[in-house]
Amino acid sequence: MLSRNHSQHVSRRQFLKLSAVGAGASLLAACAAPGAAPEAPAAADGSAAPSTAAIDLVVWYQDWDGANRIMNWVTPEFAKEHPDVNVDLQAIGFADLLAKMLPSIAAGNEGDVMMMYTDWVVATDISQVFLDITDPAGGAAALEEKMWPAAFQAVEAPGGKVYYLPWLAGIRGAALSVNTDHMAEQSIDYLNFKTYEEVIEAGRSLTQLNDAGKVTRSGYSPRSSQYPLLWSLIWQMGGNFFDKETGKWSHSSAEGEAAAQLLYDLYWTDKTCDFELFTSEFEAVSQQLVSMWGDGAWTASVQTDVAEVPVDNIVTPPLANATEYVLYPQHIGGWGLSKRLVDDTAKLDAGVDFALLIVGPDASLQALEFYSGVVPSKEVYADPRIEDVKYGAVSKRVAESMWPVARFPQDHVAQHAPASDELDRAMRNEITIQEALANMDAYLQEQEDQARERLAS
Amino acid sequence: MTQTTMAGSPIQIKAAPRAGLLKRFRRASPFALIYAAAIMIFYTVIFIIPFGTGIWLSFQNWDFLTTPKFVGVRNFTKALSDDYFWMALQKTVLFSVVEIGAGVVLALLLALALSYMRGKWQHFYLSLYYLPVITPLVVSIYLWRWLYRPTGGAINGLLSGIGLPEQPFLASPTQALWSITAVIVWAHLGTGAVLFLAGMNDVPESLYEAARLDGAGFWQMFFKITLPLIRPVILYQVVVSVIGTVQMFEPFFLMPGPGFSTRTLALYTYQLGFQALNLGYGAAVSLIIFVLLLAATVFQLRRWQMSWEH
Amino acid sequence: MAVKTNVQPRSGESSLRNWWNSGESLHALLFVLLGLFSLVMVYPFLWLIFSSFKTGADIVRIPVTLLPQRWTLEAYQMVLDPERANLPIAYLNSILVTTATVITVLITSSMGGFIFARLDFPGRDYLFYFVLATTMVPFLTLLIPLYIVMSKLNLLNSLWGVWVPGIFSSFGIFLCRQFVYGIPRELYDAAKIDGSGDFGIYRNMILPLTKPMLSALAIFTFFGTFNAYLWPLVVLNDEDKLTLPLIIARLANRFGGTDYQAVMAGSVLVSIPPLLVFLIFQKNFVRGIALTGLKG
Repeated sequence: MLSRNHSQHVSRRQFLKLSAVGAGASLLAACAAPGAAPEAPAAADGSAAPSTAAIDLVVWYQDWDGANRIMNWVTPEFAKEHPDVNVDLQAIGFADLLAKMLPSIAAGNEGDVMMMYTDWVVATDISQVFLDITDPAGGAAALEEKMWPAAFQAVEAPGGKVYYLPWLAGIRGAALSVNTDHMAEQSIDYLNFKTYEEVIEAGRSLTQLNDAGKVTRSGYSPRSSQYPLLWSLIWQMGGNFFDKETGKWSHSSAEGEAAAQLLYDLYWTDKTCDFELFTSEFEAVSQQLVSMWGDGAWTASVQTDVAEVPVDNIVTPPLANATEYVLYPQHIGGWGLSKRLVDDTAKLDAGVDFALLIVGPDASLQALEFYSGVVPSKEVYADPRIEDVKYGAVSKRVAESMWPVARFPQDHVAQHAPASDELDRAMRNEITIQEALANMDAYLQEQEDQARERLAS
Repeated sequence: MTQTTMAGSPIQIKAAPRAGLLKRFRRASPFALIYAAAIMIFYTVIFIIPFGTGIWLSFQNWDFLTTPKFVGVRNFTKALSDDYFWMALQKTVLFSVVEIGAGVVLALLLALALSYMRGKWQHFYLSLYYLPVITPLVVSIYLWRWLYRPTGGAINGLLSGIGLPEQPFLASPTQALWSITAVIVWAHLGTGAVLFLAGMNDVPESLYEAARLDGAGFWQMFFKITLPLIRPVILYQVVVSVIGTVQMFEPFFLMPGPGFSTRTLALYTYQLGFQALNLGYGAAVSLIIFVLLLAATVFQLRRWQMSWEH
Repeated sequence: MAVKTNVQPRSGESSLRNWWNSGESLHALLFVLLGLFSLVMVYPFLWLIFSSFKTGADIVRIPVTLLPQRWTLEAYQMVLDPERANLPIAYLNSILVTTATVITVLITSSMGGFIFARLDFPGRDYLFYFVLATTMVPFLTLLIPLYIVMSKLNLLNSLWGVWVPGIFSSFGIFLCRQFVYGIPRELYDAAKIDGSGDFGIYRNMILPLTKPMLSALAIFTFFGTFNAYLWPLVVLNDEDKLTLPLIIARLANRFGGTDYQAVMAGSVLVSIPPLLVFLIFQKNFVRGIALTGLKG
């Protein structure tokens, strides 16, 4: 059992020596490196620090191409007016930001300025999440004035207080993106679709099948947008799936079933897409396997600039016999400040200025150079310079058609994925549509009730 | 088993009452006591407090920020009636059973094959099979996710190249779980093989000699001599694998199949805690996992009568 | 020791059965299996390595080919550029945490193994079984509450927070204890009679004698820590504190499309340290597995 092979002895001894040296050196380095030491939250002594010392502003934002470019443009602009502020930009992984934000806030080590989405914070008490910035923002009324009315619906401003500043909206489900090369191929006039049915028809003509009947190119893929589309369609059919007064979820209804059936038919009757073509719609678009999709207006800029696929955006047109033209645009991205900042006036001012700069008209306009989604503010689109930025015209076209018909349910469920998965099971024919809708209601109701329970205090 | 100390008083290592606590304390060396204190502090902070907090948490409705609300046993009764919980449990059991079963059988065969080789070749093949083991799992996962692409993936390219139909793999609710299982078996094959090989090496050649003289065939020798003698090793591997496999997280998080098809208990717990922010329920589910694992391990140990010490 | 046979065919039996029984068919079968599976083991890595030299468009081309259309180093350049992918810093972080963990685990496990096997103090056995029992509790059950505890201790978002839960390893203590039992008690008693203190015995006798076990433990711990994903994921936020597995996941999950070039090149680079460690310590490793696998 004990091996005393000399050559082994030597190598082991060497190994231990090496690692001891290595460990010693690395532990020393770890003590010296500022990044490795635990950081204490900002001091809470309340006194305004004289602004001779440099202020460190930690900015958290979601790591994706558009945001990276925007932030890299904004930071030097901010530095011009605030030479004493050191902006520490931290790109957090897309899904990670949601997972990390609330726990970090609970632990007190969140960023000073944070990017967020309106639907992330609905299940908890917003006043516990971000700092109250009603005054710097000019009050909720001022905010409402600047925004499209529907966009303001998505913003949670209890008692007229403002906790975050709305910024950009990707509008999954409310916008359609098209591969312009494919459109040209069939001479499809996508800018003039009058009804949703026309979209489906175009999708059919663009779809390509192989000999075995499997889809090799999807003319229209609802894969990433079927859940928000369901809501839009239910409203258009005159139904409702959520009552914000009572908090009752009710997908199980005649309209719910009709809407789900329409989506189901896309896969099984119209056959504009199937489930085995791709695992990621976004990747498939980059590979030019999809002609039209609804992942949101934001995809156009990323696909065009990064994947070099020519993409354009349009607003999802209404059903031919819609009772009302309504669209659900999923959520709005915004910026919130850490509650810690209330104790550090200098940092607070810097943070407020930074946030106001980003959502301000000039920065928003510039953002459209890199971002093809829409902005929830009106004044950006009134600015004549909008034609000069790369995606300005596209964004304006979509925004001016979409916001007037947009609507948000104002629910309290932060995590819709399980409901979306249930809908997907019905789409795949694993369960019936009725079952799926019932399951969705059961899940969403439970989440809604639990959230209300937490908030009722 | 009795031993005597320098002082002459008998100490028994098992069962029987020992010298009084105070005496043992005074006799103990500072070295041992300091270590004991350190390890107790560590486990209190890293284990007891979190475990206790988890238990407390499982009776609350909390989302990190609002005041926790006591809800009694609601989280536990909900788990029993929660379809998603049972689905996750089913996926976990399916995955674990197949992964461990296939893993053990393949590793055995591999070890058997390797046992025929000598030195350099054995080393070479062993190293080859160990490559997936030492590769960071995250790397393997993304690599396989790319290989598995339904359109334009390398595996499908291979399949169509030899005339077989292309498969959806991770795009299909029925195939996704098994696609992941294959990757995990691939990633862990080396560990089992080396373990079993070491076990096989310990079987005395004389047993085989005797059997051959009696006219035993290959399979007979394998099933009657090799397997029984390496049974402890196999069982050790199975018990350890169960605990590891049930908790496996990365593959299901980074390489998921559609919808719920690959949502195991581990993923479900993580999602409850960090995505749905339903911490109370997440804690309850994770406690249930603990109880189930404990029962499974005790059952295995009892059944196969393994003892952990000499 | 191979299961060799050279059975003589018994009279009256068919030669097919004899061939089967003689094990030659099995030899053939096993070699075929070995060869086939070796390909399966290696095939994905071939793809990985070749893809790391492809352009982004080439990686996602349909149909996909093994060899690059055009060999390029741009993937590596991109991934090593601290502005774009932070890999060098992640390297440092991973090596720091891993080395620190390996050292502490070796120290605490060897000490623990010795103390629990040969030294005595009140409650020793209870403490040992408790330590062992902690392995029963799945990490998942502790994940969220441990996160909360770490946040109260202000250890979140730092490499310290990643390291702390790994200081003592129940598994390591268990293995070392088993190993120390294998060292004859007489040696220990003799050293005690000589008058050495317990720490002295530990340092001068136990430590050298447990080297084979410690090598194996070091290697296991290295791989476990270097490749760890979930706990570092939960603890670390800042991009410049991330460890290598997290960086790869970050590159792959960039919303707006997986940057496959970065992922391929990054994966190759991330796999190099474990590969090196493995190649250097192969012999120790296999020997170590043999030692840990045995039950007596």
